Amino acid sequence: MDTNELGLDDDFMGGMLADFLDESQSYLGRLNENLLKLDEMASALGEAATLDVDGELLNEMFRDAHSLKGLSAMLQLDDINSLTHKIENVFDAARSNSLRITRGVVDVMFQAFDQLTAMVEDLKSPSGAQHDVQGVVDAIREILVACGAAREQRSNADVEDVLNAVHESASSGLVAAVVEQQRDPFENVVDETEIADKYLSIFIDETAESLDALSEFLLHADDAQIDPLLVVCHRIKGGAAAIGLNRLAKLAHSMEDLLQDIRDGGCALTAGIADALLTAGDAIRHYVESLKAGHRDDDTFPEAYATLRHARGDLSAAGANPSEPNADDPTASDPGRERQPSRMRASDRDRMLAAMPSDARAVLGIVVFAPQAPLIDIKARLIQQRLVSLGTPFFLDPSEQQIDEGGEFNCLLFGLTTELDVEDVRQQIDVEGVTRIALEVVDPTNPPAVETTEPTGTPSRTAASSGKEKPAETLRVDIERLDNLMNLAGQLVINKARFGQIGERLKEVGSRKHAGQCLENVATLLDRVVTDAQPVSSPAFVQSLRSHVEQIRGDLTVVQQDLRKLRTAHSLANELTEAVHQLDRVADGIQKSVMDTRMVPIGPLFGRFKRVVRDITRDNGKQVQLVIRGEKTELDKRMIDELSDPLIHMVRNAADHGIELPEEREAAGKRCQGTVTLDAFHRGNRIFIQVRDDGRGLDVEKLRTKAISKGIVTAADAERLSEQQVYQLIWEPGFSTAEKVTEVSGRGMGMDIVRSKIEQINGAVEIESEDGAGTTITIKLPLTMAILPSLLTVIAHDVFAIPVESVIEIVRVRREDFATVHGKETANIRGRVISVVELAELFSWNSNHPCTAEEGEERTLVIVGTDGDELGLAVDALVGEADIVIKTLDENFQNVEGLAGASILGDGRVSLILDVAAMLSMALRDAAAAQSQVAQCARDSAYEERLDSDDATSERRGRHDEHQDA
Amino acid sequence: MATATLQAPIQEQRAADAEGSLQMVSFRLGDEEYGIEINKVREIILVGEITQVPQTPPYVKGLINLRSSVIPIVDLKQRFGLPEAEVTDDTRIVVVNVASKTIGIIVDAVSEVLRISQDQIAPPPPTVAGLGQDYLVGLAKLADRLLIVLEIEKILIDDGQFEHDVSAATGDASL
Repeated sequence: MDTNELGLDDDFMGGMLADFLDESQSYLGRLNENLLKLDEMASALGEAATLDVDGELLNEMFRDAHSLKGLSAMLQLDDINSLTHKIENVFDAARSNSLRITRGVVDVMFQAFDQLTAMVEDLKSPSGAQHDVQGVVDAIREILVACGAAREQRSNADVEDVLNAVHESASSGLVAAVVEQQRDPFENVVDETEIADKYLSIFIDETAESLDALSEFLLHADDAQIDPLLVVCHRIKGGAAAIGLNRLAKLAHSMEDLLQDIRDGGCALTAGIADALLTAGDAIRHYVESLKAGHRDDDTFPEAYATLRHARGDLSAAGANPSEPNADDPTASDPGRERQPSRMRASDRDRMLAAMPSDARAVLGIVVFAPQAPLIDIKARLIQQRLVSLGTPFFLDPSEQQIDEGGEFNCLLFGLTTELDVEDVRQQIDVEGVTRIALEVVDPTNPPAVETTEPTGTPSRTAASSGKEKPAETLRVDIERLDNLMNLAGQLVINKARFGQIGERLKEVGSRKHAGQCLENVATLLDRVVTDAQPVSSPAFVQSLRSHVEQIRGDLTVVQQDLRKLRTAHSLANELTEAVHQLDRVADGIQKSVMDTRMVPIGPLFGRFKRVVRDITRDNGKQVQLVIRGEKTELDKRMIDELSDPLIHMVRNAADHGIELPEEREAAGKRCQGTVTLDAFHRGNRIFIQVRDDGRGLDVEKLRTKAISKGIVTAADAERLSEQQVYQLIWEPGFSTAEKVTEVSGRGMGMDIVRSKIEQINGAVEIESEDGAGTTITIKLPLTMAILPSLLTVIAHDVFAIPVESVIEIVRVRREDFATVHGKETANIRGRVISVVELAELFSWNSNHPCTAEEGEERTLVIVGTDGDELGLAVDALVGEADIVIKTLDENFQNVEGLAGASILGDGRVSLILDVAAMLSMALRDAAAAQSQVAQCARDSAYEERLDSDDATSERRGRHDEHQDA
Repeated sequence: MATATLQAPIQEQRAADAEGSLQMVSFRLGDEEYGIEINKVREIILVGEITQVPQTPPYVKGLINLRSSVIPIVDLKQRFGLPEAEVTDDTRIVVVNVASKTIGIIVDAVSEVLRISQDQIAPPPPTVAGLGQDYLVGLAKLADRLLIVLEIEKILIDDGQFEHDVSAATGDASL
């Protein structure tokens, strides 16, 4: 993309590109969702059948493709533009019924979508890869030619007209479009009422920015470029449409139309047009301000719209190339229709109240039907019947008789005595073709409460804005800055701990209470020396003694004063502790807030797997349903990025290997559709992510055979493994349970990589399986990647941190409970035999690293491990638990086996964080090395002895290595 | 010849310097004097407590906390196979930036900062150059002594020296 073609500065284009990427994500996401829906419908019907697809779905897809096309055209991303254009054509043909949707078509669309995604990704991080879209483009052309819908290439300048496109299909008349001039074009355009504050505030922010840019451009109208203006208007439109502010979107859209006309016609931006645009901009700004203040004012869009139309008319009159006929108003073909009543008129209400029985609770309501909805009279009958079933109607307008006679009406007023909730009533009468329902409860005992509601999916512009809080303002922040902030917060935590330690030490220094007492004693003793000396010594001696004592006493006073000061220091130290506590709270708060800013919901990540499952089931003929739970669970952004690959692999495994073929499932008495469940939830201080399937479960025998054939364990060892231990074989390098390597399971990484990836983010992974009932893989993650709750221990005078995650228990073991099993030290802990390792033996230290200290009566063992594999790490002392900030060794050095990183202690020293998983495998390797020597001479006896050992896993590995050595 | 290719990067750097001269920080290792280009040196600090790291070559002394970041400390004398010396009052850690990493090197003493010109630097003699010690860039002949010019990246980063040595070390250890 050559940005300079537009003559815009790079910053601007950079910003535009970022916006494009942002925006395109949402379009692509929705396209994907809808494609999946389409696919579901298509596959339900089978290979050859065609599909009668819901027009709204196709419209939405068309709209998204169209928006993408428009955006890419503006940024001159030609390849994306042409591909989106093709996609758009297909949906256009489909919704106009000239193309039937079949599975084949859906597949091609998926391909096109993949290409598109790849191209957009490429913009983010240019890989320089060439995207071969020709195949897809050809396929699309074939589809279109086949259905006779192939159209001429439209140019990029093709009027970017999203809403029109929608309405074109909604049977709008072209002639009527001219007539509608005087009528309110916004009459039927209504806004969503429920807009999440989160999105609203983003929108407010963005729009304010866009409007500023708009004014800026327009005020320099002389040399203003049309393109940036278009981009800005488009951005406003897109943002508004995305959150359901359809009225605003429409206005922005018409601004865009105007600009597009100018660009197409090669006209200059006249002052009149600039004024019109500014008027529209002001109208939007005013409205957005009102949104920001927390109440939705009525907008002045119709006026602004009229101004724009006028300007556009002038433009056409001036001989500019007129754009395609405007069909903005969907209600154009119904020019004579009355304004829709949005709620009950006071007179109607009075009429109803008059008819109301005075002693009962009643619901008054108005039901408004969609204009031109077919069979309004029948629907009215239906509603009326339902009302009878709900309570006693006392008022009906039009009356039953009028309905029967088929009179003209588009709304139904009713009064009903009922004890039912308004909500229930609404549900009952919300039939198809109803656009609005306004209900009011009149209770003689209680003051009336008005509720205005509308059927789901049919938005209304009169939102109940009362009680709406002011949306929070937002700011987009570079993730780098957040990383930096996180780092600083981490340092604050370190320094805080240091303060704490200094405070403690100061207290110790100041706590010499006895010093004062001692001084008193000295003073008394001195007195006594003089008095005692008096009777036995010469006066001269006593005299000189006295003067010495006086001197000493003088000195003592000085010392006493100093002591007093020290005592003040002591109380100061207490104050310091207090201040440190405060700091503690603040630091924790900062750390937590910073962490919160990095948290994003896992939903979008989970959402991606719908496609993965869909692709797999296409290929393997299984029926799999993906259930997603806990999508609101929040994780550190970086963690989400890291999780993507391992999760894809697990989901693939579940859908490809876990779930059986439909016949098998039926034979086993299960539903033929299998279920893969993705779940995320908090458990204590950790986040659990589960991938569950209700398939056949892991076949222990098959795993054994596999492991033996792959040479991971020997046959003899395999027999000895418990079920849980057999499951663990899955994580071995080079292990795969697939009987045949399909395209799906063949690609990607092995489960061993999955595990190591998860361990990289300080997580652990566990597997459970029940034969015939399914498999569950649970990933346990810390809340954040930067801070690790750890157990601090002292080993040979150095402090080592062990992630609490991997600590199973801490035990004191007496001398007699230690024993060597086959030369390896083990400890008997409540009947369990656990191998004991000394860090000094496990790690290879340079030169004079002090060996593990004194062997007392009891030793402290920290039992560490991850499911199944356990190890007792001998430590000299426990310091306690602390949240430590992880510093990767890689940052300035390199990764070291057995270490997960380093951390800075409160006293400023560096402590090493142990990597338990790596330590386990190191211990097993050592065992293997030892074994292979023993095995040389006494192979058989060694085996027998090992039969007694509980540490079967280590045996297994030992055996494995040995096997390979041989 | 090896020396010719080795000189190329130095010349490029020198080209940036208008006077064709280099500023070097010189330090002592045993009886020899070495020099590193000043723009590679971040700071010079006293030797504090160093946390040992397992599974590393012996010349990696361990890790220190440099204002909340953890950096490794390399004993250059051990790296060069020179006899080890006790830590004295003169012993310093020269903190250098190599590639994107920050590393500390222990030296017996930091002498001075000096400016030497290109023509003062001669390629190392063949017996030294022939050892394949890429990090020896040349010898600078000063008035009264020789300064051995080091290319610090080559010592620490070049073709994964760390990794190479580490795997050798752990390989030994596990057997």
